[in-house]
Amino acid sequence: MAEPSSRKYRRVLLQIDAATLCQDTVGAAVEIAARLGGELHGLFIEDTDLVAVGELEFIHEFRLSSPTAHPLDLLTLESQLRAMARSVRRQLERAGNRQKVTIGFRSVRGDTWRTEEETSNDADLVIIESTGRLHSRTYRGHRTNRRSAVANLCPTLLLKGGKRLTSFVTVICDSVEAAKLGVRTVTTLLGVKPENITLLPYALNDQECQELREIIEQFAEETMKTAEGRTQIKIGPNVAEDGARVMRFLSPDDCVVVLKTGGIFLENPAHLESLIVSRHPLLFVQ
Amino acid sequence: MVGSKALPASQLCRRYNLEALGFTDTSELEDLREPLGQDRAVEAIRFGIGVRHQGFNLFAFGPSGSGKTEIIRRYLEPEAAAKPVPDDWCYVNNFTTPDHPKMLRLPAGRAKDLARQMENLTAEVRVVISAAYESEDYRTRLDVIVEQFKLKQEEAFENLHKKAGEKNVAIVRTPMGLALAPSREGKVLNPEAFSKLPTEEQEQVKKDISELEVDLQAVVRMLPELEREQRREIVKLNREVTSFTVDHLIDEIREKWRDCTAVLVFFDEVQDYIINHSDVFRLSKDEAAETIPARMAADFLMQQERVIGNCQVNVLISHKADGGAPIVYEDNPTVENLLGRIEHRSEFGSLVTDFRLIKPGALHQANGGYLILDARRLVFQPYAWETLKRELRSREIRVETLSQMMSLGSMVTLQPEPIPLDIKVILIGDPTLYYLLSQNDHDFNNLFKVPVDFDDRVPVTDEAISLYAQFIATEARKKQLMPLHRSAVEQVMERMTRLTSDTERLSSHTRSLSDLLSEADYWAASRSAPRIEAQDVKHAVKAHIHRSDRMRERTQEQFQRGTMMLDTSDAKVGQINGLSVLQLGDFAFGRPSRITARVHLGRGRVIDIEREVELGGPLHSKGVLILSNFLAARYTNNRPLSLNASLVFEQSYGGVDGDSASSTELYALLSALSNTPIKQSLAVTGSVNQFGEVQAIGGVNEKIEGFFDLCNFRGLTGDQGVLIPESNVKHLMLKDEVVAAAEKGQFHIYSVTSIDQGIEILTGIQAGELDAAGNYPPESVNGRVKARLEVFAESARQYVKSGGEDKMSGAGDG
Repeated sequence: MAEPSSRKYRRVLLQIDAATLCQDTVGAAVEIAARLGGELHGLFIEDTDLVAVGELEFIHEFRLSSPTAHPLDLLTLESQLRAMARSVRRQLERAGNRQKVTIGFRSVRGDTWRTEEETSNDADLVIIESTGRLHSRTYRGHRTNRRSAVANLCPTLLLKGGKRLTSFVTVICDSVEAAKLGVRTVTTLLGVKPENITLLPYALNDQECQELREIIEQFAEETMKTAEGRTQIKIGPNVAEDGARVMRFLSPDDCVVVLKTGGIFLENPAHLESLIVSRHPLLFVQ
Repeated sequence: MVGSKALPASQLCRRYNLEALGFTDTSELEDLREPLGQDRAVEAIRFGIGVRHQGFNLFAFGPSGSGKTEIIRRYLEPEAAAKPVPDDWCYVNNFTTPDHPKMLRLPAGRAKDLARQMENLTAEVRVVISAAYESEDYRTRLDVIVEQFKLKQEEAFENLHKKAGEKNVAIVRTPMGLALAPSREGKVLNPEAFSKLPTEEQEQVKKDISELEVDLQAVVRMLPELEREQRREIVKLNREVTSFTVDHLIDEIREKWRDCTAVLVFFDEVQDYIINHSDVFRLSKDEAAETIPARMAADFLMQQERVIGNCQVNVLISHKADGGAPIVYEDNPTVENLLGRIEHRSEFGSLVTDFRLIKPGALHQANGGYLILDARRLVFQPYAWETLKRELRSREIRVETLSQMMSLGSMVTLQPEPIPLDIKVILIGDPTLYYLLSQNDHDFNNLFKVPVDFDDRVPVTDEAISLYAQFIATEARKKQLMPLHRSAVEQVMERMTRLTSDTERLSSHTRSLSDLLSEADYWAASRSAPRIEAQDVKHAVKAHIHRSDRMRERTQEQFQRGTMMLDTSDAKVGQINGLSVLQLGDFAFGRPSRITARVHLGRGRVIDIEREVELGGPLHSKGVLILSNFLAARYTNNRPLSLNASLVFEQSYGGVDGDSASSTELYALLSALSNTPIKQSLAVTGSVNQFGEVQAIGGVNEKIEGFFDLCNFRGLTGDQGVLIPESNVKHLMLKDEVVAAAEKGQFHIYSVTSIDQGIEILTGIQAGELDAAGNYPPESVNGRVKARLEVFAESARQYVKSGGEDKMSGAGDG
């Protein structure tokens, strides 16, 4: 934690598809890009599964605005997807104009996980909307999104219903490295103040816990040099291997949770599942 | 009788001597407390102000400049000050029907307090509501509601998802809704994969999807209802939070208005309104600009302004608690200025209005007190008179625009609740208008039952003279003029008597007096005098006349240069000098005219040539018609009047009216009939009746002075003079030059009572009196006239006998 981060998050990528379009998500993504002083690229994904559905003759669509059965053919579906892509682009441009953020946009057909590498090379931060809730139009997407979030090679922020991010962050520390990486990312990426950061040790031994405390002290000393004076990162109790207990220590209930991919916490899919369906926005760091 | 004496100079003008009053100048005189010579008007004012019954409004009329408004105010002000202060009036929003704003009646002086309190309340409400909605408590409760409904939605979908999963069917989110599709291992089957399935399995999948679609449809149908329910719950929460926040603020000011039930009702309505519109109060202007897109933010801010404005109070009329009843003078009594108006403001190109744009009119301002209006201006303003009458009849003020009254236009506007009207209206106008309205407007007598008749003259008595001196002193002080020396006061009184054209009256016309004093003050100041002397007043009068008498000089010039023919010496038959008055604005002057008469055999008609060419007015014609009857009755006994006579104003190219020349015309006629010359050094004025009696006329001073000026120019001979009716002697207020000439015997004023008296002066021959046999002396004027008429009668008889009746008829008609 001693060396200051040199990482710059200039390129922000917002992945969105027919299932995850949400005006609030667009707004939140633009806000983050504006704070970072970076560019925002919108990526609208025309899902191949959806196209396959349109090719089946006996499929009916039940529209939210008119819940009667409408025959769903490929032509209708294509036109809907194009209209939706234009709508996303308009929303991004409008929000970008307001916040003075440079906007890029492209529309691709395929699965998100097939473009992971390409995406990571192209972005410093990926934002994905994923709550698993119907009203935020992610019902189909949650399965694919969690896969891409974990597999991405750059920090990936999983928004829940497009809510504004709160200023409170909990970093799940399944290693000392996860703690260092988490603190560095949230201070630079999300601009969170140290006193709002909580480190939650997960299955760490005494020595690792001591290292965590040293990191906190070191950080506090560094902040003494700043205008705001000494501020200190909080530390939670060391949670044993029972992942379900982690949820009890996440406070407030919409704080951002930071997880390091490849760590022992995410080895258990049940842990990720409980976080995915919670209200917490998730930030995956690598 | 022939030797009639001219009037002595002392009768030609009234002189005032105020020595007996014992003052040197007006600074020693006290102010006049009561208006001079207005006893009747003052009594009417006192009565009119005192009586409170409906319809006892006042109409004050009298000559313009007679001080009506000032006198009315003098009596009105103490009365108004002693009356209780009327209530304040406000308009507030009608929360049920906003286009019918409600009126609010408050004790005097409290309307502004209420308005201020409501302004503070709305500002405070914004702060506390905003804070309440930002509080953690509210957010938590809101989240609970939202989560509850999300869980309900999820539960419904999870069940369906589970059911579908068991049958290898996936729920797919499409851009516009949801669909069910066959899947294997979580992946939707494409058509190729699906076609590879056994036919039975394909059919089974289709059947399963068909069955699941019923469930999906039910879930999707349920979504809007869930959302509605969620919104209802949120509204309920918002109401609860707002109510908790706002109630105590309103309760605080409610305490101060316990005595006003209407205000408490208003508070209740405002409370409900704020609770129902809490969303609008939540965001400040800056927050709205930050969080809402620009276009929507503008709409929101406009809505916010409107909602906040609806909680405020439009103070229409507010009085000071110790001010007494109002006295309002409306100088421009248009409908809008009387009733008030509803203004509009522009919003995005549209004109909109609300209760805050209702502006008061004079009726609102004077409600509970007195309203003074100029009657002439009122009736000249379109619909203003009818509007005032309607409001007085209905006893309420209904704010309406002209277009509403006339049902013109269809712009959305307001219909404010009418305000009860309790007012005393005082119209000020001229007598003509009063009598016109009284006669032709049926409502007028019901609504203006108190006539206040101002006089502009007072009879000259010792007491009146004393009071008049005080009147002059008061006016001088009021206008901050120099004091007047006693001699100046005397001169002023002479002038004011002259203005009445009556030696027994003094003019109480305030404006004339005031103007004369101001002008005299100017001349006194111009010679650096400490006070106004008689010479200053004389100078002022002369200068005033000089400023106005260009036309008089031009007319005199015509005579002097011989363009207009008029003799002032010798004697001529059938020719006489008449006198007329020309009125130009407020300046009148006399103008002599030559009147001639010619006679010949005819059928008894006296032709007024002026009338024949439609230059003579009806009064003039009346005078001429009297002449023929006079001649017939006096001279022809039982014979027909067999003459035709023609009378004309020579070189008269304008209209002639009035009967003041009728005696003059008769003299000319008698001269022509008797062939007796009339002295051209004399001029005549006066009307005559059928018995030959000479009657009074108007403008006698101007007429005499007009002839005097001409004679004076040509040189006074001592023979020149004017015949006037005896009854006009009391009207003589001649200018100093005439009086001086009369004193020296250079110019004479003769007063006559009858035609006989006049003809003797004009001809120097006896008129002649009827003897017992019914004859006049043959050499007298009457005797000659009678003889001439008898000759005409005999000639006519002979002519008819010779069969010339038809011709004569034709001649007579011609």
